[in-house]
Amino acid sequence: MNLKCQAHNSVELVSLPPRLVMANAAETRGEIKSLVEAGRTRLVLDLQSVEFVDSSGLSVLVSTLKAVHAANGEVVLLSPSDGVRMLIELTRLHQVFEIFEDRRAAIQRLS
Amino acid sequence: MSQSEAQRVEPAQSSHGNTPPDSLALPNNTVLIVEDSKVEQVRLEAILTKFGYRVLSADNGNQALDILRHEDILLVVSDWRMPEMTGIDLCRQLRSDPGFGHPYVILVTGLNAKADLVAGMDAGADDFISKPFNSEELRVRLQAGVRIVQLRNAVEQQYMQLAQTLKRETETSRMIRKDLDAAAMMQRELLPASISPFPQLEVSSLFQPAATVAGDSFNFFRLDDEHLAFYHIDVSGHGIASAMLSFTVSRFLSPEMGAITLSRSKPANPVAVSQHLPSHIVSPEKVVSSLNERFLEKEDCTHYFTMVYGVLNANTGAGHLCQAGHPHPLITDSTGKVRQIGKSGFPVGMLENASYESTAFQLGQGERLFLYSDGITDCSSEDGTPFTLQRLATQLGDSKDRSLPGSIASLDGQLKHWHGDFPLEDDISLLAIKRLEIAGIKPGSDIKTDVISMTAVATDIPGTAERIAGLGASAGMDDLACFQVKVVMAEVLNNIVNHASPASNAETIEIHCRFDYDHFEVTTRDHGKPFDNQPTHEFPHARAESGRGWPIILNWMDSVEYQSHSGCNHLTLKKTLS
Repeated sequence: MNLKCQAHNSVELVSLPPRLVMANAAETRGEIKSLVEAGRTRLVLDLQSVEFVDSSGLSVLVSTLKAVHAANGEVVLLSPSDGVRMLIELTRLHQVFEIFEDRRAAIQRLS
Repeated sequence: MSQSEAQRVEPAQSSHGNTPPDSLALPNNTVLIVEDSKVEQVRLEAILTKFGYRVLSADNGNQALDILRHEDILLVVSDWRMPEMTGIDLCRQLRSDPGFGHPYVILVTGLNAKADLVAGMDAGADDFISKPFNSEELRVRLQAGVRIVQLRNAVEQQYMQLAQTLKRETETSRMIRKDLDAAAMMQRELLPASISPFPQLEVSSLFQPAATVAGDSFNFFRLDDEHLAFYHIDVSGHGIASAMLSFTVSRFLSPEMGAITLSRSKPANPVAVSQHLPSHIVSPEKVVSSLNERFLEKEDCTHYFTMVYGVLNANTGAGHLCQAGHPHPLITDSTGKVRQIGKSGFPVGMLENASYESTAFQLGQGERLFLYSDGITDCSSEDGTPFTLQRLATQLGDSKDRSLPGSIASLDGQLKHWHGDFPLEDDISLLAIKRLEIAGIKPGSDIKTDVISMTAVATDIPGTAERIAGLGASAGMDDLACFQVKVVMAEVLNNIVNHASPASNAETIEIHCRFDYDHFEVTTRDHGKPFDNQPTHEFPHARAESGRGWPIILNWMDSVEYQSHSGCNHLTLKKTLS
């Protein structure tokens, strides 16, 4: 597992890598999928250290959303940088993801 | 001597307790005994046969070599001291020629001197056994030999398999590379030529794939007499899978398919589908919505695309576009000011029931519309700095005084300089549409445009040439210029009818004309044979020496450009009158 994960009771805080791009998208997607399959279906995707997301990276966020919804879970995003937020807004994904700036609030939302 | 003269001893049929299974496990279990003493030879034959080997015997080295040349021998047990040829000489000779095979050689010696053993090994012997020896000692030596031969055979076989696999893989990889190159060429050919379907509009583009084939693609085509459809797509990722999706989407949007950009039937309700679009044109948000339904990935969304699809009225400059996860299109005006348009939107193929909206925009005369992929704004310099939207906008604004192709060429140069020798991480592509300025025209003059369809038969040439010249006259062109247009058009059309469409008289030649009082531009399109095999940039100049037509055309025109794309010949003639 390359992703840093931290359990907060039923909520899993998943820190995504600094570059979420084509080169690591499949691996990241797979790791998150395994988490969901293992029953961790309440996820906070921590984007704090993410500097760049390309189109493949963006698909990781959306496939996570689809996977947790299929398992009756929920996912929220935490602290995207300005660049990443711009991409999220350009693709209107802020309409399907709740975005938090405060870690505690994000975890609390899913608890 | 023939091999039949060699003495054969067949293996014993009865099973002795000490018969080594190793020898029988091999398809070849023949041992060659080389021994000048008949007594010793017979003794060895008896022992080896008992061990289950097939045994051949030779009385001397020459006989042995002859047998080795014709028989597949597993092991050789040779006496050291023999007349004519010693065991060492035999060894040396059989190792010098691969025609003797690669048997395991055991030299039988009465000597035990180290120097002799070294000489024997040098000559290529594998093992030694000293006289006198008992049969058990010989058995284990032979078994060791069999094991080594088995190992060597296994290694050889593996090597052969590896070599074959490598050869196959190399060939496969060469084929894939070849296919990829062909696919890349096809992809480039599918991109539209920079020839606007409307004389009021100018189109230009930039395309630089990151891999051989790209996930980016774009196109523009006429929907009716005044509307241009245009789109720019960026499929997530890049490489083969992205390129294939990109290709499929392009097919869906292609005017030949006509499926989703134009209504199939007239709607019962005559109200326009979108506020300012006529009812037969499907509004951009509906086109994008139907693509979203068609390309939706229900589970993962490894492949989706972002796009801008729009429709522009070539006469009025009124446009509508739908932006789906794609960067905001830019419009630059004649002062170099840049504005962003579009309302953002969901990518296509990502979310079920995503709703899309269109944005209305106005492209003023002389203004330029740019659609591009994030491959440009994200393009990294050596130290990882992205090119950014700001740089793109500045570059496009600063090159306002250059021609549209000139402006794009300068952007291309800047991007190449920006990423340097590093391979591109993402495809770079841009589509630009300029609404031509008709402001600075002398009072009283007029711009005349027309699209003329002509059947590719010689009898229709004079009338068509006359009609085109008449259009020039109505735009205020003087008599000499009109005469030149008439002659040039007659020559050009004659060439197309004779050279490009000889086999199909029913072919239609489409002629797009645009005349000012001091400038004219004519583009002909036909689906006949390409003119010839010369590279398009050399054509038709390379033919100026032959015939009477081309010298006249080249002499009277400022520029003559020929392109052949997707089975369509485009010939563009331009002239500005002094």
